[in-house]
Amino acid sequence: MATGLPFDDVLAAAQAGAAWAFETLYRDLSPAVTGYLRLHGAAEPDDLASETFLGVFTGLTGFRGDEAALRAWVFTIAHRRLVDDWRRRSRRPRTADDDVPLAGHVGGDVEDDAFTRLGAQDVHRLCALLPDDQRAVVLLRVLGDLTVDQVAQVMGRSTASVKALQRRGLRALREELEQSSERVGPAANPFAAARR
Amino acid sequence: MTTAADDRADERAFEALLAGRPVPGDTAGRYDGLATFTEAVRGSA
Repeated sequence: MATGLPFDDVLAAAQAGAAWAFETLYRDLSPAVTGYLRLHGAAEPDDLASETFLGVFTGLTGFRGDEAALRAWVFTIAHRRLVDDWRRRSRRPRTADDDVPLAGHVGGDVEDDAFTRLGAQDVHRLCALLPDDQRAVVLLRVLGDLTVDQVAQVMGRSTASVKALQRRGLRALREELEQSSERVGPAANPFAAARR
Repeated sequence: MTTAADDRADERAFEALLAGRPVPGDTAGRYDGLATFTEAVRGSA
């Protein structure tokens, strides 16, 4: 874990009710969970993340598994909260045209922050282009660090279905990135320019 | 037009990027955009 403590020790302490262990798990997982919810266009990603971790800590005593399994289980709860949120709102996610304050959430290395700010609006726009299920697969792979099988488990789908969604999502992203590069030229394209 | 070979290349590139490896054989920088997107998504968390 990020703290350097063995996962099994942290999990056992959290299951026994130790606040420090809850905090460790929260600190380890909440940035990726909140990022997942935010890039899906959740209206209140922080609130949904709080609901997610309330569910996690309520059900933690019954959890059995390793760190990867815990991660998959946490994202399963987050994804369910997100689907509930979609049903409540019954509309498409917000896009980069909305004033999403992503830059305020980044931290760490200065160059990384500048780079992230450079691409934040484009990342939101690209994510918003994908249908919900394709976006979920791509984000769970990248932010959740989950395998295709784990994503299938999170989304309640077959592995073949997730592979097909991933294929379509990647194709859509690549085509949009290529078209974007052709429209503005590589020099003005932040996705191409940032790699040079 | 996207072919099945393109789809397979996309998947291989994505798996490489997730693992933090360079995309094999991508000398033309075809996947630079996807690489930057993946980094930016990670950076947003």
